[in-house]
Formats: sequence, structure tokens, C-alpha cells
Amino acid sequence: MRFPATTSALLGAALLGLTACAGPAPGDQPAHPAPEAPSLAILPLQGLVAEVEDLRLLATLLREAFESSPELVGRLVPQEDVERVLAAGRIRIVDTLSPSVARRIAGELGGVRLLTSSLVFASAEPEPTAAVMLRLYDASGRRLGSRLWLRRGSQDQDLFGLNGSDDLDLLFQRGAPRLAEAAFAGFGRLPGGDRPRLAVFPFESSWEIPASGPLAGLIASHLLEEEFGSEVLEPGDLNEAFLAARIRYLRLAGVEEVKALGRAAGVRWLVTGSVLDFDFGKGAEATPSVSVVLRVFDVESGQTVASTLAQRHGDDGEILFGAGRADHPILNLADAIRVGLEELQPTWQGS
Amino acid sequence: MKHPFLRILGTALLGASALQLPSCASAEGNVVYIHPLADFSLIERVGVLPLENLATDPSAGEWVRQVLTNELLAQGLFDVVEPWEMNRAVQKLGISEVGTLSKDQLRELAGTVEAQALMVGTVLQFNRGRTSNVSSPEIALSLRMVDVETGLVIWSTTYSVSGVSFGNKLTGTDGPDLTAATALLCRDLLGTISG
Repeated sequence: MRFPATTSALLGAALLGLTACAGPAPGDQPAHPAPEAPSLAILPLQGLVAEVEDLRLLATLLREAFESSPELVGRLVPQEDVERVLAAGRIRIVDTLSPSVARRIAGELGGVRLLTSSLVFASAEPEPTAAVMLRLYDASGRRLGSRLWLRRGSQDQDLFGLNGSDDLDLLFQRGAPRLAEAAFAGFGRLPGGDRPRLAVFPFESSWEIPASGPLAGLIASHLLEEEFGSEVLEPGDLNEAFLAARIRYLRLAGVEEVKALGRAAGVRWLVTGSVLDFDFGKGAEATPSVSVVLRVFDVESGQTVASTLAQRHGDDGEILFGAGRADHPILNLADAIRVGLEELQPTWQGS
Repeated sequence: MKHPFLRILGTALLGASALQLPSCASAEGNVVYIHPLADFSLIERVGVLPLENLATDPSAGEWVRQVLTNELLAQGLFDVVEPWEMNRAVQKLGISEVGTLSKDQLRELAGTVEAQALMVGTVLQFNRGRTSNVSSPEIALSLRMVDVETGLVIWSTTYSVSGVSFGNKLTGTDGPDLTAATALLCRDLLGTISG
């Protein structure tokens, strides 16, 4: 079924505006390639809750997208070489890297840039949705940028969803080239200088969606760096600090352990939280709703010094008198976290 | 830490206080008990134990606990023990049933987290609810605060909210969703402490 050109244009614009969950849509911006296209090693795609088949497909598509984009990448390091170096170094977790580990891998591969990626959310229902966290490191192990990329549905899905061919595989196929561009969209944008330094601890997940907690943590980190001008402790460094402090689960950590962890990592403020509600809604009239508690823990005092409850409920993104789509919970989650961080920001800005 | 006997007068007075009528308030079925000799201004730090959950939603206990903790912090009534610290203390002491703690266990638990009072409670009902296509959450919560030194319940409440307001019904617009309704409920019931 076709609909009038004006309506189609309006709908297209609305959908484009919803494809990114944080700030401007990185996946839909023109890429900003480095002055000279650098050599790049793509580390194996990781997944929090994704099916192995989804991971393999997306990894293959992403690699193909880079191979067909010489303006983005000068030389793509063969995957066998990447896997050989990782195996030799017994490096298994590669969605986040500490600077020292990134430097070692990059050095052994001949001084290349590294791209890590993690499929942090993938769901075929109620509509195909995928969220990928991308991080780009230079040869010295410094993170150049990070991007949280979200894609939902298909941009040529018609008004009443009658295409019927829209699934995750299709979404990956159509999204991979944009994902490749997004990897470089944040290049060199992280400001230097004296910025408040924070650590974002893993968030607790809602019971229904186990990925919601890690996703919320990633969104919070991304927003803190990109929109709030903060320096967030490298996730890889945070992982190492957790291991050093022998903390396996934050929900069972003691305050002294957490204080020691914060001191060792050189951060005073720890941001954490809990996703309470992550509901897609059911039925034709249902609206998605999310809610998240955000807290700031002060390492010096050992106290929680700020806390807020942020939520989004409703269908602000609904278009065309109910015939369109409501906001996706991930977008609602990002909005809720942004509002929550705005409330908490004076805590660390006043330090 | 302030002297525990200041928070609630000594055991000598307890017999007498037990004979007194507790101060109760009731509004729309909500009930509050406050020990006549309790002085909340003398409590510095409280811990919120994991709540028992009688609702069908398995996440209800933790959901309400998180909102309650946030409201306690937001109202600035007390310092609040971080949930992770509280969980660790519960696990460390090998406590599996938080609803049936002895006085000694409460004291030990509170000592571990340096709190003078603990909040324990039960989520009785927790539904999203929908009436005539309008959001209509149903929540019922029973909560009490125990002074760990004396083992006395110094505050106890059962609050519930259900249904949809006339205004929402009339206009067909959504009322507060489950989280917002939980936050309002917690705000109201904690308001009985701050007066």
C-alpha cells in the first residue's frame, strides 16, 4: 500500500529522527573520515544477549561494509591476524579495552587503530531493533570516540507495516553500512582538558529485559561524555578495577570495597542506577514506558549524595493520529537518563 | 552516633507506652502507626532491607525498594545505606528470610551497615492496571521501621493506591504510570514521618 508523497516524506523524516538514541543520529550523519584513511583492526563483535547467529551475521556485514569503504579505512587487518593476537594474549573480552591492553593489541598488529563493537540490544519484537556500542582506539591505546548506534525497523517500512519482510537480518543488512560510518562519526570529538572524572557502574536490569541495565549504563556513559562534558573512566579500566577489588557483583559489594575501587581508579564520583520499568506496552493502544533510578556515590564520604527517579511514559513520538509508531523504549530510556543526569550534574560540577 | 536511648526512651518506659493508644491516622484506607515516644530527628542513617513480595510481578519488591530509597534520599530525612551495601550485609550474615528477623539479627545487620534503624516491609499488590484504556496502577505496600537498639517498631504503615481519578476518566487521559504512582505513594507515606 502506498501513501501520498507528502505523508511519505513526513513519515520518513520522523523515522530518521528516531534512529539514534542519544543526541543527533550518528548512524545517519555523513561520516567524518580521518585525513588519511588509517589501518584498522576490527575486534570480534561481542553481544550481551544476542543470539550467536545474529552476532555472526552482523560481524560479517560490518566487515564487508568496511571493505567496501576505502574512504573510511585504508587497510583492514585480516581477521585471522586479529584472532591470533587475541589468542596469544589470552584476551577474551574485547568490547571494552583498557588503554594498556588496547596499546598492546594495536602494537602487535603493526600500530593500527582498533574498533570494538558490542551488540547491546537485539530484538525482533515488537519491531526489529538493534543497538550497537562502538569504540574506536588509536595505536597508543587512547579512545578516540564512542558511539551508541540504534536502528529500528526499516526506513522503507510503510505506514501500516504491510511490507511484512522486515526482520532483524534485513535490519542488519541495511544498517551495516551506516554502522561502519558511525564508527568514525565520533572521531576526535572527545574534548581534552580538565573535565569532571566519573565512573559509571553497571546498572541493575529490569526483571523483564536483562539487557536493560547494561544498556542503561552504556547510554549514561555515552551521554556523560558527549553531552555533559565529563570524562568517564574507561570501561576496560573499570573492569580491571573490579577484578582488582575482587568485586564480582556490584549488588553484593561493600561500601569499603567500592570506596577502594573508586580511589584506585582515580574517580570521586560513581554513577549507578537501576532500570525499573522497560515496557514495550501490549496491544494497539499500549504505550511504552521506562523508568530508571540514578544515583551518585561519593567515594570520599562513602555516601550516596544524589539520587533521582527519571521516567518516560507515553507516546510523544506517535505520529499521524495514531497510525504511526510510539517512541521506542530505548529512546525513552535515553531521554529519561538524560533528564536524570541533568538533575545530578550539580553534584560533580560543584566539586 | 547518637545514644540509642535518645531515639526511643528506655525499656522502663516501654511497658507504659504499650498501654498507650498509638497515634494512628487513616486516609482512604491508609493506616499509619507512630510510636508515641519515637523521635525521628535523632535517627541519622537507615537501611532498607529487600522487601518481601506478594505481588505477581517478581520484580515488584526490588522496584519498590529502589523508588523508596530514592524518595528517602530525595526528602533528606535520613542518610540511606546503599542497596548494594545492604544486600552484602544480608548475605554476609547468611539471612535468607528478611521478613522474620530476630532482634539480634536486626541489631547485627544494622551494626554492619552503621544504621540506627531498618526499614522492612512487603509489597502486597503491584499491577499496571488499565481501566477504560486509562492507566490505572494498583499498588499496596506495608512498611515498618524498626529501632535496632530496642527492637521496637517505631513507625508502621500500610498504604495503597488503586483506580483512576475522575479527571482522567473524564478526559480519557492516562494517570500516573506504575513508577510514578509508586513514587507518589512512597512520598505520601514518608510524609507521615516528616510530619
